[in-house]
Amino acid sequence: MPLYYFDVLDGERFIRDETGHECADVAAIRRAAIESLPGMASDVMPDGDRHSIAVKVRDGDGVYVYEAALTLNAGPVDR
Amino acid sequence: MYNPLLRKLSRAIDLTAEDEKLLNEVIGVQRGVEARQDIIQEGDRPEEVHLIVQGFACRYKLLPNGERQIVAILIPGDFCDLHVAILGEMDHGIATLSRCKVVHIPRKTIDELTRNHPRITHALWWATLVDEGILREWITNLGRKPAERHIASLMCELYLRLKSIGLVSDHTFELPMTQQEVADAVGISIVHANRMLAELRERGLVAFQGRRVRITDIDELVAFAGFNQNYLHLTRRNNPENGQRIVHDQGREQGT
Repeated sequence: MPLYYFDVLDGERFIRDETGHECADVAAIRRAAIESLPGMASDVMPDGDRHSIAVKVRDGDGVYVYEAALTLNAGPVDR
Repeated sequence: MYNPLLRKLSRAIDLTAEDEKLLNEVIGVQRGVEARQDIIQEGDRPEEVHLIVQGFACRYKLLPNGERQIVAILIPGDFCDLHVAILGEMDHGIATLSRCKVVHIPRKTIDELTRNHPRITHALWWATLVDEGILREWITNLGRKPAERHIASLMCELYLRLKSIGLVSDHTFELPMTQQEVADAVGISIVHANRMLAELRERGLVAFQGRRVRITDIDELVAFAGFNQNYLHLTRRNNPENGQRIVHDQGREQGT
């Protein structure tokens, strides 16, 4: 199975994946990217009213092939 | 002969020369098991108790969707299934994480040891209670600790447990776990585990050298993890240095 690298963009911080994770197909890439987001979000939120975490998936040639993001937008309702 | 069982049980109580001789006989016949093999599966009714004498293994539960939760990491000196000498069938599986050496102890040997050797019985009871303490810690960490501190706690635990049986040298120990296995132990996704391991490395708390982990500064790691080693019960109850409050249960007569 080919290796894919799951880089994380947490707010302004970019964390490059040097290890990689084997995925059989796009469905597996999608599942791994999406299922990682709620857990990572719960580690850092709440730290404000705006936060975005994205997973960007690279293939072995360094080409980005998939992206998933989770965004928090919080605040009082405008009257 | 290196006997991790003897090392471990000596933590609980002073064993006699006869006890030590018996425990050396117990680990006499060792069998090799390859990495990532089941030693016992859920539902098995083993007639022998398995003891790890070399390598790493884990207790795990499988979920209906095929995911796995690792519920304990077993190191040399740990029994896989001591309770099966009393309980009927396995309610979880046990698999090797690395190549292991395992001893098969017939149930009747356990019966004989516990019936005739009170210090060994005390020590086995201690080991079972410590396993429960570890489980309580894991539940707390699984439920309430952010992943990075949870992984840091796991590293502290393994460091202290391995150190207590003489398997840490120069702050470094063997850790034959893949990222997927760390994720399965901490209850997070593999991408999340990968990222948290990278962060621990970036913070300079741990260094990964192949399948070995070097703890850069255990005090810093303990502080970061919010780790309290009390649940490992590495200090004996009757040790005056452990500073515990002695309770004399005399009701209200004192102080009122």
